[in-house]
Amino acid sequence: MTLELAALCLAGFALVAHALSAVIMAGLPVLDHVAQRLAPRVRVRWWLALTALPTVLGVLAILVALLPAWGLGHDHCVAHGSHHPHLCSAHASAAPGIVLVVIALIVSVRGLVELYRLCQAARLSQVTSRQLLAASTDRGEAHVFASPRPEAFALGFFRPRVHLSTSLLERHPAIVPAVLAHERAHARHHDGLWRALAPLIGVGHWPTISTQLRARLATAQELAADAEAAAQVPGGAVSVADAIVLLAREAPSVAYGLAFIEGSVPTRVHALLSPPHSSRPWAWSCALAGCALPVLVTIARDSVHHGVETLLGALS
Amino acid sequence: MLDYLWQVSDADVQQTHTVVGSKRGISPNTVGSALERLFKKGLLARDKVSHAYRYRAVLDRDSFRARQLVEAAGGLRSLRKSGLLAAFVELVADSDRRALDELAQLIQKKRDEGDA
Repeated sequence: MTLELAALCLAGFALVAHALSAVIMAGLPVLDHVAQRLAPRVRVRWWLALTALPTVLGVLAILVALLPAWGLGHDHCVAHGSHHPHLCSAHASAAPGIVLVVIALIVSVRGLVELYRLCQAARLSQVTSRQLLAASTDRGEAHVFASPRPEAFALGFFRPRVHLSTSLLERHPAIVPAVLAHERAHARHHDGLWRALAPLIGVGHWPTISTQLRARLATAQELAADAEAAAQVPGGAVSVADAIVLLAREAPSVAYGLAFIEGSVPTRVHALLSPPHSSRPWAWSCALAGCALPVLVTIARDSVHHGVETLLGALS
Repeated sequence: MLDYLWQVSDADVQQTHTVVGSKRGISPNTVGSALERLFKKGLLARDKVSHAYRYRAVLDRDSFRARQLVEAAGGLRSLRKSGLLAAFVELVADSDRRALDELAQLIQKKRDEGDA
């Protein structure tokens, strides 16, 4: 792999991925409608899949485009002219144009920045978790720490643990089962890890689209954890909704300068009290479509190869 | 190790290894290194008695936990800001009390329907 070929591949990946990202953005209302028909946990996977889709298909398109050079597909290297860049690992590639180099640099820097942020977040999570565990009492299902505020959260990348504050246990013992069930659902499904990975796996998206999808993912994770908690605790959805509103009232008016997540509490309560219709056929259709895409891309490898080269040629 | 040192007034490496290290298959050298690190972090003090150091905890258990909590608070703040820490209810900068009252009424109505 020469530097020229690497630049072409990165630029090709960026072009394919961001084109698909724009399609996703245009179809967001339809995608929201589909999401409403899915069960809560399936909805989380839906938004994760859409976050990853441009990146995955972008990488796949480039790998498929390189297949002919590896003897898989129609080898047109001999007949290849200079009308557009030649994606081939066997033959030397011409130097890409400045536009493609800039695109390759931007996508590389973005990927490295997100990887760095992920590593930083993992380290911070590990250190904070260790400190908090040292300050907590292990009560089996959760680790309890001293705090004047009623708090509950799941913390940890690979082995998330549930943390509750003493204030929550002392002032609101009745809602502890609902809160615990919600946080255990987060821990069980590694929601924190996926939320941390989302910016990196969504590197193929335009930044604004990535942000919107990640917001939808976070909301879906909360609604899924609420739904799982509602299925486990006595009193069901009403108990969980009660716990949410009770703790929302206790939140201080200013807390560490955090941004207010609009609609979070009303969205969750309304979702609990009037669960949307969910449909298994929708989930199966989405899963099949997701599996079919890579297969189609691989079958149409020659077209993908020429398509990517043409796209790169347009910007050379 | 800190749990053990909180129970006794002080201990040397060998005593600490006998109680804490040997059960876990940890060598005396590893126990010694760990005590040295805790000393450098300011969590232990030590005095040389004969040829060996005797270590004692500087902070009691509650003070140690409080200190760890303060250190963790900074990390929790950053993790919340980045959206990586999912709290049961995200802390709000400006809570809308009227909206919460309306939600509470909705919940009560649902509860009454369920009881009926």
